[in-house]
Amino acid sequence: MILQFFKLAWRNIWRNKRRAIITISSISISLMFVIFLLQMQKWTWMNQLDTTLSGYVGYIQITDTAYVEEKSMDNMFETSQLDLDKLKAIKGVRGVYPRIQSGVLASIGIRSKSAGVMGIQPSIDVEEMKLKEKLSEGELIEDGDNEILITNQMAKFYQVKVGDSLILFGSGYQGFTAAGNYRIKGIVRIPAGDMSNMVYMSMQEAQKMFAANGLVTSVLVNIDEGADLYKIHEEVKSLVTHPNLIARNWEEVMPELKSGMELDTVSNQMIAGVLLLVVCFGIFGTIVMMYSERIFEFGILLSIGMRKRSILLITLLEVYLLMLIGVGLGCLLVTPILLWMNHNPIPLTGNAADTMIEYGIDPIISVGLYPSEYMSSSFIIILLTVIMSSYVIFKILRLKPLEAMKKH
Amino acid sequence: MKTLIKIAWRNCWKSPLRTSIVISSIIIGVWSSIFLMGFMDGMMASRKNNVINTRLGHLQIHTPEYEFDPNILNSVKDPQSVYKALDNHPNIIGYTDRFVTEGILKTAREQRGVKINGIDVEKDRTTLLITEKAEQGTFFSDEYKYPVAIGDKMASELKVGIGDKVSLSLTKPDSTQTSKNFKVSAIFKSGDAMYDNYNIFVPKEAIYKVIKTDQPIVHEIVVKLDDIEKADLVKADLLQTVEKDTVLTWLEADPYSAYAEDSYGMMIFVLMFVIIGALLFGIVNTVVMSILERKREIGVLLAIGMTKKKIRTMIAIESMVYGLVGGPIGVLLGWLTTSYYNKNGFDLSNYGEAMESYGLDTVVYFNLPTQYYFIYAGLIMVATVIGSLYPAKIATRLNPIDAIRSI
Amino acid sequence: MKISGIITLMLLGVFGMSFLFPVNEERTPQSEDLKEIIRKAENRMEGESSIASMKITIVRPKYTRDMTLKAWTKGDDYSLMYIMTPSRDQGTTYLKRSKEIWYYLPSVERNIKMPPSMMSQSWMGTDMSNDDLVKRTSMANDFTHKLLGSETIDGHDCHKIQLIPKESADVIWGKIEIWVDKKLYNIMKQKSYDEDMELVNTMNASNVKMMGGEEIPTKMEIVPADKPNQKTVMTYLSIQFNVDIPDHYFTTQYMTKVKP
Repeated sequence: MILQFFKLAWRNIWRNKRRAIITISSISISLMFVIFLLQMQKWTWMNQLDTTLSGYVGYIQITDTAYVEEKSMDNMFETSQLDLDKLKAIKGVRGVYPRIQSGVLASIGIRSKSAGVMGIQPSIDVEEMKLKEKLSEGELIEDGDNEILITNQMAKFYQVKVGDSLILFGSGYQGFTAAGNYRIKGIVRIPAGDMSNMVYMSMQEAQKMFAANGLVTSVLVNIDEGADLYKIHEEVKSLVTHPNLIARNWEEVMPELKSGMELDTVSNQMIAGVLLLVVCFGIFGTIVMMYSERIFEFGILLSIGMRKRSILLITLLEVYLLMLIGVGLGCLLVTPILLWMNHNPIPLTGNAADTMIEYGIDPIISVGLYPSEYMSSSFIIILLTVIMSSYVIFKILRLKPLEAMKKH
Repeated sequence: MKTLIKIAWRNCWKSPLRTSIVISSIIIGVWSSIFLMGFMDGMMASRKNNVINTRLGHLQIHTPEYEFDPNILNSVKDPQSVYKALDNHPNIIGYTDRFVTEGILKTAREQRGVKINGIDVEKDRTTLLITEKAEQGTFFSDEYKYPVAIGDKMASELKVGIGDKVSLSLTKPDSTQTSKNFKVSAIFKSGDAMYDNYNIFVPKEAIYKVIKTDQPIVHEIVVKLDDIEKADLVKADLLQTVEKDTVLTWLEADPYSAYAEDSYGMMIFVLMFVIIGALLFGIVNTVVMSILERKREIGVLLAIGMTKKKIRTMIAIESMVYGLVGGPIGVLLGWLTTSYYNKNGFDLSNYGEAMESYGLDTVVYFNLPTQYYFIYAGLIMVATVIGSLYPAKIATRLNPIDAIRSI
Repeated sequence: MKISGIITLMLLGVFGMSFLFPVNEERTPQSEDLKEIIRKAENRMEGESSIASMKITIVRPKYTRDMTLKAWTKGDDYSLMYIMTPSRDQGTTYLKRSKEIWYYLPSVERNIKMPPSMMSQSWMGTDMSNDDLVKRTSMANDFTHKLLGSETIDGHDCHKIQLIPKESADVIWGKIEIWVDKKLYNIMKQKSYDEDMELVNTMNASNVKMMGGEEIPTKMEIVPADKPNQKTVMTYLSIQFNVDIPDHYFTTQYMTKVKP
């Protein structure tokens, strides 16, 4: 029975090809707009998030439990307590980055100021932190290097250039004195924010200076674009078995960033809402036309004794089939556009671009290919279509055969 | 032509439901995008005003070294010539000179780095509003010899209230350290949590007494203009007489504002593009459908000798009717809502904390420059004309005989 | 890094005990002016000059670290300290010249002056900040005093005195309680409170012994109230009072070549 209804509905659809095409295109093009916008919003969002997180905070941060409350060198931990290779092997993990982060006094003797120190592994971190792009003078450091990178803001403050030296002085692990005189190998351009006052050195040298052999303050686990943070977080947790260690995701590490992001999401949702309203009317218009064109036909079917329920079922099946084809086609057709734009991002210019570069964000607009956005957009469109098809239900239930035939 | 318009108008209303759906979709689209733009513009304007009125002013004058090393010795080199230039400029409403240096604020339990702003309340009031942002207490009660105003977040984190003492340490011009107890006289909230958490205010005389100087030391001169658009012009004027110090406009002083302004502009552009695109598609879809429905009718018109050009015009007019009716109504509705929220404000206190950390007010007063209404209405018109091109082409491609035959 | 300014006084005591004012052996607690008692206690700590070697033990939840150092002190304003052990830090020298603090780091062979922004940092990893070492307050003049009674601390009969800062004084505390030995005028215990009258830290002195010709507490510990499982303990190994130390000891030039 149902199968027969399907057959009927399918035949009905293709009996009037142009109507089918218009309806399908209405749905699929609406969906394409929605997907495009959401993919763009999500991409921008993720791009900024990635800039903020990947270099310094990490999507998932593994630290000593005591480090959460007190970011002191005393709360470092041994990397041997972790199986870094197993962490790297988790699906969706882009990389695992051990770090030492601390504060020191940076001085050239007469000028002194506190500065941050970051012990990194240049072989993997240069790319992750986009240091190559930020390098303005000199060269980048390498693994095991005993020279340092400083920021352009620091170079200005100390009036130093590549080849000069900077004294770093602070307290190391368990109260040892941490001190060293380091040659400046390169200067990176980070003019604003907390990161503008930062010294980068190789992990080996940082461990030597802070008397912290084999120790790190944190291990960052960064994930691939579009990977599921929560799922990976759970997997990381299951690998972090040492009782003194804790793996927190960025939402736990930086709740204020999360609330800021939520604000962004609200304005994005408002924009998407406006688009959906417009799209919704488009689809509704199509549905209304589809129905009104066929009033006569329905009248005849009713008068020859077909039950209203059957008519309703067939018509709804038609609408839903058209909708599903539209949704499928929309997803399919928008993909090449997204792919193209993902590979050919639109470059930005002007103040925004300059500031974005300074904040370490690539000055481009592009789109992502997140399955989640495909899903949510399709779901919304399907939901809207189902709601709007109630117009058809309502109309058919109130249909009177004679009037229907007369009207045409 | 007149007849054509009449025919087109009638055609539109042959299917009133369909037409009203298209028109309402245009109305809703236009209205909601104006609403959104008004909202975002209001948010940006409030942020901008906040930043300018409480923190940056329109222009700032420092010594060049101050930019990267705000220490006590990097004061304005030649304040007298700056004052002279400021006093004589017609566009300048007010200015305030501040003593600004970094220091340490301590309570019995905690300490943190702060920026100490030494101000003259009366003078500061002519330029910036910070002295009016006191949530508790006043900018500077006579009761205390050494009063200080601190931000509300800092006050709650350090657990200090009005009348409590805090110790301020700073470097004197001879590079020795000094410290002095100050009593909390005001707790302020500027609307920018980050700023409030770092900046504190003390009377200039008090800080001069602490560092034991008889000569006023000025690190920052903040200037207010009669028109924000003139910032660059006035800067150029000032630079002719001010030689030893640098003048920054508010945009230069706060690159984040520049970024926000630009990326907001970009967002509006993308938004307009996407929404108009979607509207356009809706219109094209409707007109194409109505033409295909009326194949026979058009076939007849062609058969009785109506020219293709006329048919094309008729269809163009049909689709323009949608834009002509829907566009203005949408713009009008948009204007009404925007003016309503411009007066009454749109409450977003649910997101209060996040907004404050971005330097935004929780109540958004909508704002949209008038030209945007016209631009939007104009764009809709253009879109509908473009939208008519394709259906018109379809119609004129019809073969009259086939068209009449088909049902 | 929640540290008392008053530890300063204690440290000054540690670094420079001399006895310009002979200890008054006669005690008449009722009649004796409280201010006088405090002045005497303070005077025991204000020094002419001394050379001491001491051990500092830093107790932390995860580890305990010992440092030994030698200290030269002259008056309130000058002190020089040289770290002997642990060997990794040997040779690190610290100089206080009135309100300035300098470090000499053998590994970089340079002097560094502490900038204001770092003054609030921990001094050598202890429960004291650099700032605590340079700040000066007078317990006798900057506070109003009240006798709270007598208590025995580490076997010594003490006056328990409450100190409330005067309005004009630059004291960050809400109040301070000190226990002053009735006979020797050593401060045996000190509790510092914030403005809400909550305890911030406690100093306990003990092991009063004859050293360098004076009876002084040779062990002192500082316990921050909100971190019960950490403290800093200082123990004298030896001390000489009234030694003539040349002025050039307390210069940045000399600190680079200190020989203990």
